Amino acid sequence: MASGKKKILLIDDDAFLALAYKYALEQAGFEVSMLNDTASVLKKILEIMPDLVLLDLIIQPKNGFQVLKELKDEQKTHEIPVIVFSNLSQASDIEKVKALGAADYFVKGEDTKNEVAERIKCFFAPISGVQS
Amino acid sequence: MREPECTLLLVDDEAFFRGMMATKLRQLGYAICEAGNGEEALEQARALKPKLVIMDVLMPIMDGVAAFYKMKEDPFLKDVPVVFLSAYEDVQHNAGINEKIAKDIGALHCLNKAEEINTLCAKIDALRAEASR
Repeated sequence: MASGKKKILLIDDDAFLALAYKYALEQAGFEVSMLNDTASVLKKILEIMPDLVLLDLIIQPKNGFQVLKELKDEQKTHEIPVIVFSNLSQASDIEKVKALGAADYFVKGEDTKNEVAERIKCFFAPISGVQS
Repeated sequence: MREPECTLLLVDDEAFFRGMMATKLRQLGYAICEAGNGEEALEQARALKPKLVIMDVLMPIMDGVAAFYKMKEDPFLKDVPVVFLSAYEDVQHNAGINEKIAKDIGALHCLNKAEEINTLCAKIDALRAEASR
């Protein structure tokens, strides 16, 4: 039975960070799945069909840039919003992922877990507004 | 030597690593109790109320972060300090970020499990001293 909660897929190979954010986002009312590598990322996304993907950039075997391009090139997944969640904070990295179609860019450790949850809630808020 | 009641709870599913850590920490003067997953950690913590919990992240049955959040919900355990152990390769980037995230969620630190064991235990000793101040 569907929970009615927004589904987030968190793709990160750092187990501590991924679990810390998974539970924080669950406490904030989201349903969170995790992937710790990108070997079967497209298959997993098609299986879950998340409302949002949180994507690390430094991850293997495919890096986050490649995954983002793959998702945006695939017809079934290109509308799923992707927020990049990374250690990389250079303006050139941010420009590159936005050019590839990322909806937003969070720098790891810059915001608290509550701020991350709030930013994601705000991300969904305008969509709810349009629907209502 | 530490005061005799200074008990640390060491939580890790890898028995060999846990044994090495326990030996080294006993040499530093601590009394050590051990658990192999998050669920056992909660039972031991409720029974012993340790001065510090050293918590691995990835474990079967209940992971370390889930056990930590359960401790924070328990009035008896919520003030027991926790240091996470997590193996990560990108030390340059991840060490600082994981420390920030650990503090953000209310833990003392997240140390890199891949560090040399004497260094790791010395850091735990320093964190325990900091937590008791």
